[in-house]
Amino acid sequence: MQDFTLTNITYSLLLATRWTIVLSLIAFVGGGLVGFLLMLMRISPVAWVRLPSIVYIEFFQGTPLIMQLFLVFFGISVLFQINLSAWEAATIALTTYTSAFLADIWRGSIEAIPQGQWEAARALGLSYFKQLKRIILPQAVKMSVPSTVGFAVQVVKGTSLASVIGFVELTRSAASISNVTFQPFLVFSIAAAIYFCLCFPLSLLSKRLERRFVFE
Amino acid sequence: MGYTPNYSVIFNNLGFFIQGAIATLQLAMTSIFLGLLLGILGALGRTSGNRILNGIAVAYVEFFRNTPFLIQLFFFYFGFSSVGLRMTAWQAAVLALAINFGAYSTEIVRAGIEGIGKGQVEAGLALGLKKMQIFRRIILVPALGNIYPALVSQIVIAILFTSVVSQVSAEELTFVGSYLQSRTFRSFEIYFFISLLYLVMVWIVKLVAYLVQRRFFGFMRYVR
Amino acid sequence: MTSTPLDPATAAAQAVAHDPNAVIIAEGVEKWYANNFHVLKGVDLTVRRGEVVVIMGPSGSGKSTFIRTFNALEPYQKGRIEIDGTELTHKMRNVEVIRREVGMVFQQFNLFPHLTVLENVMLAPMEVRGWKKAQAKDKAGELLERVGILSQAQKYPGQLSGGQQQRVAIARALAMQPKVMLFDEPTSALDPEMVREVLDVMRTLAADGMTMVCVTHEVGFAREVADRAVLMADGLIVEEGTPQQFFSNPQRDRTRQFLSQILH
Repeated sequence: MQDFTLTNITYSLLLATRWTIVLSLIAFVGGGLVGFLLMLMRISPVAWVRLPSIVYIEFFQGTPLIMQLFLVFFGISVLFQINLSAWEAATIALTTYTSAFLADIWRGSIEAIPQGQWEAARALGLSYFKQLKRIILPQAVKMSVPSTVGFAVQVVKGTSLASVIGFVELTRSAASISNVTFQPFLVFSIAAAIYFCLCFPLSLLSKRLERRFVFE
Repeated sequence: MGYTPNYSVIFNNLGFFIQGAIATLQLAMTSIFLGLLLGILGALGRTSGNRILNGIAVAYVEFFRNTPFLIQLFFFYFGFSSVGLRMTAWQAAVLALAINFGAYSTEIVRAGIEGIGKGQVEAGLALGLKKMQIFRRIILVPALGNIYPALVSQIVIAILFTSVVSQVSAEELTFVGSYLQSRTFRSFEIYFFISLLYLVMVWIVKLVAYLVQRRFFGFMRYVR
Repeated sequence: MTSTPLDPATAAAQAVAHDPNAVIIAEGVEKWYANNFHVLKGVDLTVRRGEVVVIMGPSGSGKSTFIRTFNALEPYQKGRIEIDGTELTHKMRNVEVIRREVGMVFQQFNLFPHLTVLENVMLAPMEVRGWKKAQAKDKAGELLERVGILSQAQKYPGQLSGGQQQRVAIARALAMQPKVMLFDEPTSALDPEMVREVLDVMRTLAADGMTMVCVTHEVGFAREVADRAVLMADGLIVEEGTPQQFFSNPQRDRTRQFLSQILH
């Protein structure tokens, strides 16, 4: 059996942290792409385009992430008779989760743009997508940056729940090391410190961006 | 797709599910209540003007908002018991949920306190009201109206978060699901139904919140 | 921190020496902000019962700060202020007693958003004077009628126009039956078409004999209603006189310069 020293534990946890970071990045980028499409659907003037995105966002914001992970990992494998690995299931679940929240954040920013901006763009004869692309989105993106960065913190923390379906990232690794070393206090403290180092800079950045936006 | 969902597992265990949902609501209400008390204390610390109290409150908020809830839960349940502070899964769950909710509500309540116009207080003073009267009759209700929407969102998040405590075997709705799943293997039906139960609970909370808003904070519609 | 302490004998002698009709006596009031900015540099003013005094002056001259010392919304470091025979001491009890007798109307109205118009007017008489609800309601109704807003009594302030809100704010202050009313730029936050309805209420109030101190830029109102006009600049009173004299034949260059700026 391996001898667990403090350095040893920290090293193992840091190795597992790579997977936390990778999963966070994939979920954030993938969720961003899907979320953008969802947001476009959500603000559409056409009701039947809007409806699916409303249901999607309501479902993923109104159910626990843990349940979404279970549904993907256990549910899909039974329903479609395909065996998803923990890694695949975690990626899918965190991406859909992230997309629903980002779509909602971005919709909020777009709705915060005064109606006069749409009217002015329309009065200039721009098409719907040109109005969006040239006038509305540039303003909305700027406004949504702080909350988007802020939500990245929720994504990083959310990846810890991938551990419940057996994906070995920081939390799962901490739990198993704690099981063999019988030092839960120490191990979870180190894990918490690592998460803090990942999340706190993002929180600070979000707050700073928000302040800059206010004073502009 | 050769799988036929079979929902008999839901009907046969309906009592179980309902028990689980009630346990989840109990867990949520207890920890939200305690968390809100912590949040008020935290906000008082944040706005006290005392550097030490403010520092403690900031450290509390930042630590618990920048680490995953699951780690916090493991820390309280496994960590504390390893140093002799043994608690049941339920106690650890309430503690972790309350402390987590407290961190988020600290910032919400602080924003509510800081959002009150100086003019409101001055108008009260100019009319000859005492400090306590100004707080009770002039500040309290608008401040609650200010923080109400953010607080409701946080309450919804807290309800969804209770599912995580199934991981230390605290017996609530998600735990019921995992238990039934391990015995019947009807995972899709069970988890889908439980998801719907959470959705319904969230909707009920939102509906109640809306009615309360209309009854007590109707004036907010006309503010600004 | 508080005003210069006077021994009781001197204080009594001074009070007697003054006009027995004085409602406000301010003597040598000086104030520094926390950043050491000397905002009031020794201001004297006496306001007699039934008198209407208009204070004018450029922004930053300290005129708002000055009238806010009368009900202790602004602490001051030197000088003394006496309201209706009671010296302001900044002791909590004393301040509360004085604030009951001094009504104030703010630039931004400061109505309470969660209370209806009627409740806004009823609040202070019930909380401070201990009136019964029915009594407060009767009085509030009477005052709202007087300022022409009775029909909106059940609405929230946010549903009213600025001019209507300011008239409610006047009724709210009057409900305490104050000995003197302070107006801190009551029409500055209003759209032009609403200024008049507020000034009309203030005119009626003056005609009914209310003692008033108004910080305002409304020259028409000052000429017509004021008994005295005062110019403040850089924390001091520069000129003081009847409106006739003040507007038509100002003695000081500073006053002439100010008037030429606001009269175009």
